[in-house]
Amino acid sequence: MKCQEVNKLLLAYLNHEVTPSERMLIRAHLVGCNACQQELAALSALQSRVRQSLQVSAAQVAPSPQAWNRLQARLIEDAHPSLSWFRTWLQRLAPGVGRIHQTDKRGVKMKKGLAFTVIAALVIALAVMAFVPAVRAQVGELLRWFRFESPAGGGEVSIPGSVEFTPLRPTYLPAGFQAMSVGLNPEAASLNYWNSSTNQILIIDELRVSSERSLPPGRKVTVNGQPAVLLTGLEGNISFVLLPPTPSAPITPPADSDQIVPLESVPVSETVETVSYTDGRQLIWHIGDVEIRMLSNLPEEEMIKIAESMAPAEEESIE
Amino acid sequence: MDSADLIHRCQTGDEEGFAALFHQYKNLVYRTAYLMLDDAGEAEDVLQEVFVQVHRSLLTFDPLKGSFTTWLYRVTMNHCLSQRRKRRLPTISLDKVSAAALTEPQSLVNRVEDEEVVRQAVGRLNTKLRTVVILRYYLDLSYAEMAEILNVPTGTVKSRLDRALKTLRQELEMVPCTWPVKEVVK
Repeated sequence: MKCQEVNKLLLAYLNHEVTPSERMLIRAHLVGCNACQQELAALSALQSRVRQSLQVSAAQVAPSPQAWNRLQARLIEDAHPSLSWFRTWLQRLAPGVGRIHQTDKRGVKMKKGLAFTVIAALVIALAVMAFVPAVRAQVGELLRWFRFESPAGGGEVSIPGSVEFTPLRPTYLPAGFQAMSVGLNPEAASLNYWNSSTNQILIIDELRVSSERSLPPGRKVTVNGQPAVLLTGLEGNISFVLLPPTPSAPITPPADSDQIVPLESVPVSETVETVSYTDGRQLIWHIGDVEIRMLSNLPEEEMIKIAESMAPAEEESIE
Repeated sequence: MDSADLIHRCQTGDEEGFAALFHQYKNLVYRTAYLMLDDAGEAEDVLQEVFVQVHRSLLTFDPLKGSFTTWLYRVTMNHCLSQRRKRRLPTISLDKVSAAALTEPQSLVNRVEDEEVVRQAVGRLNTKLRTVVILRYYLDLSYAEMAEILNVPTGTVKSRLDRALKTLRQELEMVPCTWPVKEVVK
């Protein structure tokens, strides 16, 4: 074998990637060729240098301690396509406005954006109740009405939704929490609360699931003696759109209950408040065929207390 | 625990088995992604994407058809390549780097700096060459394993590694290593 041929194979020879016959020929050549021996030594030194550098560089880095919790949250998200459908449905009704759940690079992408038709739906619902009793009777044939704490402030209000299950609401809330939005669809409900003084959030999502569905992996706790899971160390941002206490002008409800009212036609002024959290927890448990996921930066004991106070929302008969 | 046992547990719905699988391989996946991307945040994103895909695909993974680690490396590399494409930054071939842009030899004083110099040189390789360097010198894979992961012939792996070493040598020989390197002469 000539030097030129040997040189082409030297790296593969060093890496034990030549055939037995090639190996024999190369060895025979190296015995009598100082130049190729030096080339072999230089290649070997270079490989060692590169290997050492990569091994040392890699050993100096590691995934963040929150990596597992982030993955768990992401897998839960992945496993609930109907909740994604819910968000998409809400976004179509009022694109671009809503509770925005953002993420920074280190944070948890808890949700991709819960469009704020929740508020639009609430405003429309208030208008329907306040101004058009006749329409309300007609709507009542398609929708069920449940009482929740009013996101506009000042007591409770009935929220309509074509709900196929009875949503739950907390009967205990720590002082200072205000309802920000309520969203209902046949398979899911979402209640959002915020304490603006302490910047604490409480996001309760309810989803109909199969009764055989198991809880995701996480620290095991109990809610009213029933098994639950608690995820900790969650990070993220949530933006709330703040409405004035009452609508600024009368709102014309849709003549057709299926008609979608563009949010631009709703004359409300709004400010957006963004809450960042780095100490988020998510409590997950089942009541019957409903999976409840409570995201908050409240202490664990308070979250469990709220969870244990959850009760079916009072249904209002519209006749 | 053996990866085959963990995979079997995952395939029977044992979520704690999946947790154990994650913790067993997270460093490997993260560090490979970090070496490919040079960015801790992006490496973390790749780690998430890889294990979401693993979680989705484990039920259909057949250990008789191939090694789990080979499959895991392939998934990791694919996500790294996707992440790099998202950046839409041009990779500059090391061949085009002028000598004037390279570090003066006098700046090298210790092993730590040399490792950084070498790592940066690897970082300046184009994606294909960088990939084979990391698969070979960080993950210690054979040419056949690399060919399987990259879905290319073994000859292609060989020629890419040859070009990568030649390119690195041109740059690094201008910046000599000042600490002893074990030489293996066969």
